[in-house]
Parts: sequence; C-alpha cells; structure tokens
Amino acid sequence: MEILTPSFGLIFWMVLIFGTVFFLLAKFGFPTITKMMAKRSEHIARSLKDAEEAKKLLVQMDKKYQQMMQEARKEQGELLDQARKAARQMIDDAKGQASTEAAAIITRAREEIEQEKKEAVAEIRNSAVNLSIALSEKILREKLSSDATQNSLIQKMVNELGDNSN
Amino acid sequence: MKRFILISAILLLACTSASASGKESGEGGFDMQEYLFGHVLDSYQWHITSWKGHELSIPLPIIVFGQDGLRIFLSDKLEEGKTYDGFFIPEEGPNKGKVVELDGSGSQVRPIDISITKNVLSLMISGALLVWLVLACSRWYRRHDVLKEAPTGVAALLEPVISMIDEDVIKDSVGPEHERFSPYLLTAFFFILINNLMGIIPIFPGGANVTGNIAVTLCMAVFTFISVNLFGNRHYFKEIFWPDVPMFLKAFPIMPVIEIVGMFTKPISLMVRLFANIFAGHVLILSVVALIFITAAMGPVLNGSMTLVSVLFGIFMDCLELLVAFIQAYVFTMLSAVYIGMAHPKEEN
Repeated sequence: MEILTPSFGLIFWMVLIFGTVFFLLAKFGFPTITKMMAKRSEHIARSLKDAEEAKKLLVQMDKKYQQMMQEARKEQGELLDQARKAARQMIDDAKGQASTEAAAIITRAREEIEQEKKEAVAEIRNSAVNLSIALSEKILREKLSSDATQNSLIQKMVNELGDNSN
Repeated sequence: MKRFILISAILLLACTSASASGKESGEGGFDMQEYLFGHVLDSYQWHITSWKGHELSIPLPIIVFGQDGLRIFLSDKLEEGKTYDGFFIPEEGPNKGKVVELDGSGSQVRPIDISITKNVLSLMISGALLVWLVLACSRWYRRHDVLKEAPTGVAALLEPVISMIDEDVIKDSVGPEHERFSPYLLTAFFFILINNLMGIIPIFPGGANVTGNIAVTLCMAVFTFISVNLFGNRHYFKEIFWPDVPMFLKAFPIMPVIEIVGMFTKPISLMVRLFANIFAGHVLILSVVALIFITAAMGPVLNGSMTLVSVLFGIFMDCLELLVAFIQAYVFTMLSAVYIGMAHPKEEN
C-alpha cells in the first residue's frame, strides 16, 4: 500500500519546486518564447501573403508585357506591310513613269529621226537637183554648142514633157 | 547481419563470464520484492550501486519536526537501524522504511517529515535543468532577431516542442483564453516530460521514480484541478449546479451530484494515469533486468543467454519508455487543456 500513499514531505517539496519552476518559467520563460514565436509566425504569414501578391502582380505584369509585345509585333508587321506596299508602289510608279518617259523619248527620237530623214532626203534631193541642173547645164552647154543637137534635144525634151504631161 | 551475430556472440560471452564471476561473490537468494520496491519507492539515500559488499549511496538530508522541534541531519546516521537523536528507521511494522521516533508510551510515531529524499532531490535537479533550459531558450529569443535568424542551440531544441504543444494542444483545446493558461500547461508538460526522461536514465542524476510516485502526480492533478475550477466561468458552474435538464433531475439532485463527482474524477484520472504508466514502466524494466539475477543460480549458460535476452529486451523497453515518457506528458497536458477549455464554455446557444 505504500506505493499508493502519498507522503507529506514529497507533496510539500513538489508544491514548492513546481511552484518555483512555474513562477520562473511563467514570468521569464514561456511568455517571451511564445510571443516571439507568434511574432515570427505572423511575420512569415505576412511574408507569404506579400509573396503571393507579388507573384500575382508579376503574372499581371507579364500578361501586360506579353500583350504589349503582341501589340508591338502586330504594329511592326503592319508597319512593315505598309512600308513594303509603299515601296512597291513607289517602284511601280517609278517604273510606270520611266516607261512612259522612255516611250516619250523614243517617240520624240523617232520623230526627230523622221524629221532628220526628211530633211536629209530633201537636202539630197536639192543637191541632186542642183547637181543634175549643174550637170545638165554642163551637158547642155556641151550639146548645145551645135544647133543640130540643140534642136534634137529640144525636140526630145518636148516629147518627153509631152509624155510626162499625160 | 554478420555484424549483428558477432555483436550478439560477444555480448553472450561477456554476459556469461560476468555472471560466472558474479556467482563467486556469493550472493544469497534474490529478493525480488525488495529489489523492485527498493528501486521504485522513495528513499532517504540515493543508492548508486553495491561494490564488493559495500553499499555505495549518496546520503541525503533528513528534515523532521519531532517532539523536540526541528532536526536536520544526513541519512547515513540512520543506516542499518542506527538511532540518532531519538530517530530511527524501523525495518518491520507499519512504518517500515520511514523515519520514526518513540513517544512517551514507547510506540512509534511519525514526525512531520520533509526530508530531501531521492525523489525530492531528483525533482530539484530536473526542475533546475528545466528552468535552465527554458530560460536559455527565452534568452536566445531576447537576444536575437527572430525575424531574421533561425533558432540555434537550446532554442532550436525546445522551439518545435513548445510550438507543437502551444499551437496544437493548448490553442485548440483551451480556446480563446489560451494565453492565460499556456504558461501553466507548458510548464506542466515540460516538468512531467523531463521527470519522465530523467526516470529512464538508470544512474545518479536520473533513475528516481518521480512521476511514478502518487504524491507527485497527486500534486500535478491538484494544480490542474485548481486551474480548471478557480478560473471556470459562470456557465461552467451553472452546468454543474443547475444544468439544463428536467426539474426532477435537479430537485432530486442527481445531475449536480454526478457533475460534482465528475469535477473530481477528472483530476483523479489524470493522477492515476500518469502514476500507473510511469510506475508500470519502471517495474517492467526492473523486472527485465531482474531476470539476470533470478537466473544467476541456474548456471552460466542459462544465465548468460537470459542476460542477452534481458539486455535486448531492456533496450526495447527503454525505447518504449522514451515513447511513453513523451506520450504521458502529452496526454496529461492535452487533457488538462481540454478540462480547462470545458470550464470556459461560450454563451449557451
């Protein structure tokens, strides 16, 4: 039965020792520790929340960035397209202009050539006429030195003219 | 596996030779009861070992208020039935093993005995150890920035445990007023835990069966009883004395009687649970060790093999006791927290 009989001395000391331990720990020990731990867990919770928010913000910003990139890319494409179109236009324009100008130049050249040709022909004709006149003058002077020939020639020429007038 | 067999063989050999030499020292019959109660009960000196027939023990101060007032002396003055200043320890009778003195008519009377016994000294040592540990931990917190540094040293040792008890047990069980009770509950937890653990250590600073002593668990239970009932709110006492049950249960006071009995059974269950678990653990380990001494007379082979079995089983039991030490401290704290929480019911709905 001794094991089930609490002894007075032990109870006395137990109350004293536990009381002292409790006093010391409750005053200087556990409240400090639990307070600090609570502080830290609060800090951690807050940090986690902040991190979550930062992540959300980051995602948002990334989305915005992507959107902007897309827009920029689209714009760039459009600009390129436009530039290409403009360039083609310009080339086409230039080409058209060049061809018309070339055509104009060619026609003008042709005209000039024609003109020159005409002039040349006229000149040739003139000089041929002059030459033939001079020639015929010389011949005539030669031929007409005798009257016989002079008359025959006149006759012949009259005949010829008569033929020509027909 | 090979190594295990080798170790076992060496152990067996060592045990056999040890028991063979032990037999020569000529011990008589082995008194199991003496051995068990000598280890499990409180005593006036701290027995360490027997060495060549001499008892090696630390004498502890005896403090008694007898018929002639206060007397303080060391317990070695009373060993082996000696009488000092009228005080002696009888080896028979109802006061066996306790300091007594003779009154006028010649019969034994117990003086008021507040001796520093083995358990008291053990309580002091573990109490001092606990105070040092926790104050070292709180000093760490005061000197470091908790927001920037992870705990180190004692703080790293205690923090997970404190956090577990405070967050999971106390906050959940006590409810909104937990901050008021958490110092007591934490102190109770660590006090029981450290005494349980010290009890498992087989040699000097440990080994006393402190939490397996009914006086200690009685005190713990009373502290819980006080913290439950002294701080209980209006609704708690209304539930006890005037619960919401049909009138005839109150007028013919069945419910109040049951509730009042319940007030006391709760701490009593706490007291008995802790006491019985730790006591049983000590007895189990001691019994396993006793196998060695019981079989000492049965020859070296049997004794050696039983020693091996006893050592292996003892290791297992010690591991189990480590677990029990923690579980019992945890259970005591959790139930105390639950009882305190029950004493603070919210407004009835």
